Amino acid sequence: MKSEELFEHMSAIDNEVLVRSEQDGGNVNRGKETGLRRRNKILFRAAAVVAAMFVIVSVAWIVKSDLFRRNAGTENERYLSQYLLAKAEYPEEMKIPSVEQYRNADGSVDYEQYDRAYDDWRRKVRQGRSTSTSLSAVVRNGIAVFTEKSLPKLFAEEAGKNRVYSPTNLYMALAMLAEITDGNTRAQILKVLGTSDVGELRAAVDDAWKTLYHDDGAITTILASSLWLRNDSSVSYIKETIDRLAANYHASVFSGTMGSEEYNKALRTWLNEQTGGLLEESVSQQSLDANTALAVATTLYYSAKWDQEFMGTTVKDKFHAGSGDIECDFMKQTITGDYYAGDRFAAVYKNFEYESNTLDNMIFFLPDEGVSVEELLEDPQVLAMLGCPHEQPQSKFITIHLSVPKFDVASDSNVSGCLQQLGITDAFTSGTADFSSIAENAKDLYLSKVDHSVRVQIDEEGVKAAAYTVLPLAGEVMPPEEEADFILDRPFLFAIRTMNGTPLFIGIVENP
Amino acid sequence: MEDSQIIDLLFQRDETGLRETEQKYGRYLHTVAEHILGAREDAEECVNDALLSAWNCIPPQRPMVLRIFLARLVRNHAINKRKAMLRDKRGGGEAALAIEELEECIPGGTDTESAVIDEEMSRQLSQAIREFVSALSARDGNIFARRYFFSESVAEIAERYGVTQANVNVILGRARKKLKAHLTKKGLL
Repeated sequence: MKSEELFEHMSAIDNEVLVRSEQDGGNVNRGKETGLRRRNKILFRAAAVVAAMFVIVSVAWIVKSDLFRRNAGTENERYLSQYLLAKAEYPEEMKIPSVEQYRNADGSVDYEQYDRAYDDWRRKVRQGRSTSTSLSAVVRNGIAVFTEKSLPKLFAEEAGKNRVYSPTNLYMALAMLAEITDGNTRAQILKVLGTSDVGELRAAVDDAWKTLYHDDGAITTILASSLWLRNDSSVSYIKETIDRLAANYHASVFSGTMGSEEYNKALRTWLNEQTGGLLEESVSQQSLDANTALAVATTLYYSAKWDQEFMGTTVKDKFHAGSGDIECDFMKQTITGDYYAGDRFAAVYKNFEYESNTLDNMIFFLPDEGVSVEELLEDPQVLAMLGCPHEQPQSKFITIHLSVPKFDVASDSNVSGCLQQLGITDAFTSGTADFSSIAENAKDLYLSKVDHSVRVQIDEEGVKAAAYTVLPLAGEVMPPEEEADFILDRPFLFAIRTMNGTPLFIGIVENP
Repeated sequence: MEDSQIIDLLFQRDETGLRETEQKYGRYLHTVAEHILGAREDAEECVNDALLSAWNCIPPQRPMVLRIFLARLVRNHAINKRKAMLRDKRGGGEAALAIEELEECIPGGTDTESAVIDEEMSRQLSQAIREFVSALSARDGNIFARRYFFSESVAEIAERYGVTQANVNVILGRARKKLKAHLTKKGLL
């Protein structure tokens, strides 16, 4: 064999390795880690993105004080399990092996065994995913329709503040709402979700749930939902519907004394558990009052690592917020990737780790100078990149010097007003609302509130330095030829998306 | 334009797809070819050849990662071009050095008797290389791929990953030694 032939056969190197080698230098330069293998690096890497949200849909009666008496007699501290009627079933996912499991008594690590376990994990995870990596068209289109309608409305209020929401999870919550309603009330909800058939929606949501759910230690997308019922006889719930919610929407079903501190504590415990404690502050404000007939809560917890963590010193620099300049930490990195030049913005995305064969990413939209973030909310080119059927902007594969502020944004809102603007009105109107799919004596039930709480944090593991020159990108419509700076130093829009663009979270950062 | 849209255009036999490919990846492919050939005009020719190949093989093929698919095509054209240039006693490029380094992996240098490898061996060699590189740590695998697939210089690799050139050399040296052991174990040497 000649060395030339060996060189030629390097063509056989896996796509995955070649793609990875292009992502940039990223985390390869860790002096301390030279002795560690790939797997260790993954485990020791800081989480890059954590996000969580919940929606609570409460269905209440028109207040009839004579009907309910608050059960104040319970003194025992009760735990969640005591209220549980049915526990949702979650897929058993094989967890990524940890080095610690392979440490010998003398402190050394049995890498041979560890590598074998790791390869085994990876192979199994991939096999499991191979048939279900993309969302069904019904859900994809449904979420796209819902995103396009809701994005400008949800973000219209609170201008100047950080705003964030999860189209995917609101979609799931509304799908459950469609299940428990009927007649015109249901029709209004289905319309907003881009479908007319609740059966079709049910199958699609079940499928989406299975596709999105990951809990293998590398990437975590935990969707959960629950149903909170009364334990007295004032409402006769329809068992068939409850069973359906448990089966197709993976909902846990709870039953307790509405309005009691214990039951509220159980609700808060469940919310905190499902959202990794990330929303503790707003969860502490949650309670269901004695007039609540039932409540639906859905959550989404997401955590992922950058495929290449941010290297280089995180530097303090100015962020030009609407209210004036503020100093914050900017994470820097040079990547090779697609640079999108929209008519009114530039966009760049950064991938999450694909160890488990999921290709989620985070996209950042920087409005051109003189364009406000709000103007982007109805921009077809932006919507196209969030999975909606519009034409995407021009893109070019180039070297990009990224500079992203570290941020932790949260928002709490009652989205009832927004849902009503979208056309879901009957559910909120007592007398008109039709909840006959969930309760037999449902005449007086109506939707009292829809609370939505979200928080997204992004992070790096700060290391050492590189400085870049700032070049303004204003007015450029064609992508730059070879290199570009992409500096998010003024209010911007971001989204965490699945491979095909379906947005899990969308947010505006006004004040990192 | 998104890769999937470009591929759709090529499937529809729409030449816009080819123009879009060139616009999006032309410069990138040029760099890959130039690393192997070390000459600008020759690289340009390879890029054109690669685009023509892409037009001819999509469809039926539907590349998973278009960029890497094109990089493979242009690399093959550049290697062939390089062979022709060597016959004409010209050509240099980073590939010459990379190939020289790989001699370390082959016992007795390049002038062994089994100079020509048959199809079966070629298949086995590809398989062995794929396994070998995938089993390297992410860092070592990246560096190995930059050097022996993309023919980047040690200095470029050091800069890309923010490590010293000495460090890159050590990593490559160790990887070559391992590769030699791996190929020996597989009975390919």
